[in-house]
Amino acid sequence: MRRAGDLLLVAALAAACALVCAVAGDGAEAVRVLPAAMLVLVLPGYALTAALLAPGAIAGVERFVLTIALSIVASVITALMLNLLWSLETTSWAVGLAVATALAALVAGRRGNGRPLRRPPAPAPGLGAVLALAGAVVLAGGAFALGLTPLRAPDDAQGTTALWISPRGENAVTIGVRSIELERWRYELDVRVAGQRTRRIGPFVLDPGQERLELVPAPRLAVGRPVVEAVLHRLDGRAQQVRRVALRSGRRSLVVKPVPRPRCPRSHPLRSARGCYRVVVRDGRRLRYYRSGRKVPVA
Amino acid sequence: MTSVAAQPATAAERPPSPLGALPYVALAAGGGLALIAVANALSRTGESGGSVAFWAGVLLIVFPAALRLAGPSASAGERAALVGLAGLALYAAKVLRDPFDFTFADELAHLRNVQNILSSGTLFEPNSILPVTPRYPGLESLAAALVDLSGISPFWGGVLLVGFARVLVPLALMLAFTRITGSARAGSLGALAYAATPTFLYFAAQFSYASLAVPLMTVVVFTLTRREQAADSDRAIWSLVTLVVIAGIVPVHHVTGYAIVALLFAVALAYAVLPGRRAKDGPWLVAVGALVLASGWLLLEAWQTIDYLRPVVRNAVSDTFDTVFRQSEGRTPFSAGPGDSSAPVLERIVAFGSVLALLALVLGGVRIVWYQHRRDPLLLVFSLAALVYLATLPLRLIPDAWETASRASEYLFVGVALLTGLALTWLLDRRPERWIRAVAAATVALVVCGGIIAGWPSDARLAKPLKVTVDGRTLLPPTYAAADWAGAQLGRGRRIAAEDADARLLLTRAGQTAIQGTYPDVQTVLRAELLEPWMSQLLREQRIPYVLTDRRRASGDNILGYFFDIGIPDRFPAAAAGKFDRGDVDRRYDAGDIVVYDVRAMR
Repeated sequence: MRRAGDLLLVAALAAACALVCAVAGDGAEAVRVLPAAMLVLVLPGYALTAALLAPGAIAGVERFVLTIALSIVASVITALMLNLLWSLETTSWAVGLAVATALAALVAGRRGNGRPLRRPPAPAPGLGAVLALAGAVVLAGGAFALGLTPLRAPDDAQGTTALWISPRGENAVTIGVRSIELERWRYELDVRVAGQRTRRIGPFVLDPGQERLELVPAPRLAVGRPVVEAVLHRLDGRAQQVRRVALRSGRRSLVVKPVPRPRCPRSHPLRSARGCYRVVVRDGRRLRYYRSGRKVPVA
Repeated sequence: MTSVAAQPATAAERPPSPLGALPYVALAAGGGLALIAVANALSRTGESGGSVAFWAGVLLIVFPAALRLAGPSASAGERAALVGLAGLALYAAKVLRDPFDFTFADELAHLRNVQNILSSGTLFEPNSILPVTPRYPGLESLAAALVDLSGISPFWGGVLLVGFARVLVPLALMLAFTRITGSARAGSLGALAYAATPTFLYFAAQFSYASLAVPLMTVVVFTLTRREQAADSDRAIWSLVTLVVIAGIVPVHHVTGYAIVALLFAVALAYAVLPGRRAKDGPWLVAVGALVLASGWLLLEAWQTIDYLRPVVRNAVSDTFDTVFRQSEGRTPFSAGPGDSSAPVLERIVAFGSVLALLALVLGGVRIVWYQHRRDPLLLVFSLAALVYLATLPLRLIPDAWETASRASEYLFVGVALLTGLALTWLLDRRPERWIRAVAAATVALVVCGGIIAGWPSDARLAKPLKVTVDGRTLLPPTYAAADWAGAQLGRGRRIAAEDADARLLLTRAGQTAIQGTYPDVQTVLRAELLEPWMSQLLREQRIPYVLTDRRRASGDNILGYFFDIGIPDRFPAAAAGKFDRGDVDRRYDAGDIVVYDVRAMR
């Protein structure tokens, strides 16, 4: 057994890693990540390499390369097997990979390919080398710390404001305003239900990243559900329409939009209560032709 | 010939530390990474000077390592550590460009496959953007395993997985090249020179199936060299190891599997035709085994691959003919496409210089092979690959062939790297002066920089503003906000027509079935100024209830379309989106350029 100490260790590590990954719950990523990486990317390949090749057949770097490569291979094949026989979830992964590692280690042990455990020779670098390595770690760590830090946007980066609408049950809608702007803005929201302005919301202020939700009643009418429209104005000195959303299809607008009547100046010589007109003689009859298109015989 | 041990060194040349020069090269690489991080930070905040810092960082990673490898005194272990360090540091440069999320087109498609495995617990779930990818689930299944077992996010699971795979590339190549050439110096310099592959820094480092398969391919190259140099009694076991690795590659990536089959048959054929070699010593059984595995997977599990690859090859061939016979315009070098900003003049000079240097190194290497190793089947096949790589360089001037040539470089460049190591070592063996070493190291740095310039558009080389802070709050770009809204308000699994970049975010952030591109032709539906009857019919036939219009032309760019716009963006005509503003269409989401329409009732 002592001759196959590495295989025993690998099998035991695989079982331990599987246990940690399966048992440790959510929020324990820091604890689970190393065992998971070992179980997927290191241990099966070590055992498989030992199963295939005698200990003296390969040198250190060659063993390292084959360990990673054959781990990838073993994990891919384990995935295909699990997909066929079980399912791909935490427990099945943990059991499948641990079993694959143990089986490979067993084959390696049977072939006499195990190696006794030896303490690897520890290099004793000089002070300069230690300082250089420490400096490398600090610089690389600093690089990642900078890389992972969200920074301010460029001066001319373009933000935006999003307006959205979604039905909420049969008798209401939700209207949302989300600021993806890079500065604080004031807004005003107009809501029309069935063609009539029902609410004016605001002015209100949204900080970058902030969202405002409004639940707007839009009860079902006798003729069906009403059209709901919302228009968002951004107030930066002068009112400005910026966004518009609408729930229209399959809905009804009850208000018939009035046809705008042509304007008639008070000074117009031919003017009545219906507006301006001109007189046209047609077929011997005198008719008042109004701007709206209406024709009225002159009495 | 096969020794990987350190070559003799004088006491004066040997560094005092048992680690050799590794700590000092690591310090330089750490400095290089810090500079690259600064370059990306400058780019993210819209400041100038990023490019200078980036190139200085790359040089700090590559040049000291190359200088040390060019010397005779490094041990085999130190050489392995140096090439592994350089490979990892260059991978870290890619992670520093995208430290928050995947932003490469293929990464997002593969990320969806990981999400599917995590949610369904099964492989082969469909993917609307790259339908062939679920048929090769190797990468995604491993990432899902890491995510499931560790609890980390799919993004970090992918980063970790590709990082492990990337370590294999320089190490496996170094082992293989050292055995092929018989020189640890040639092997390590060649392995480092592989970083000059145009796709190495970014494309081959993305979370994509090729990024896992190509490292495994380099391991096949290594195991093949071991097989070729093994005694007859050990040959069978190395053949088995090679086949086991190939069995892992076949479910990972189609083209890599076929490239390995081609390599194995070429080596076997070389055994048959070379004088002094016995045909039966060739890797025929391994080649046939690889062919059976690759074709078996293709026929039983992934027959869609044929439809996926056929148009790529067909377009490359037809476009080549059209360009040669002047029926279509060629591609402008150093640009990603029409309207793309070209690379600076200095970068062009470096790129041309690197091509000339590679040309000289490959031809020099071929000459060495011809005079010294012409009966070595592996060297002969890799020399041929290097010459084919040179022959593919003109294809980079042809629009549809450019991508094929670029992707083929991952495989063919193995030969270029081998000959580069061989040629540089030939020179260094004859001229051991320090300044010649410096020239050799500078040449490696030159070709690596040239590869980076040739392989990725200059305006996409550094990070773009993706996650920004405003008044202490963190903001994501409008494209992300739209995708998040679609996931939250429309429900998951909806079919949504969108431009390419938007579609990929809808796929991964919103869990939608995003439809983009020209098959079906939703691209015309989105960009046309008039809504024609066939468009409504297409949306109905394809059961597409939602349309996301994005007026920014960048939304059609799956490299640059995800970030905050800097300045006023170039836009499609307003009528293209406005044509959906009809009485029978709901306008559900309006963020200015990005609007989501519900077109279920559209006639």
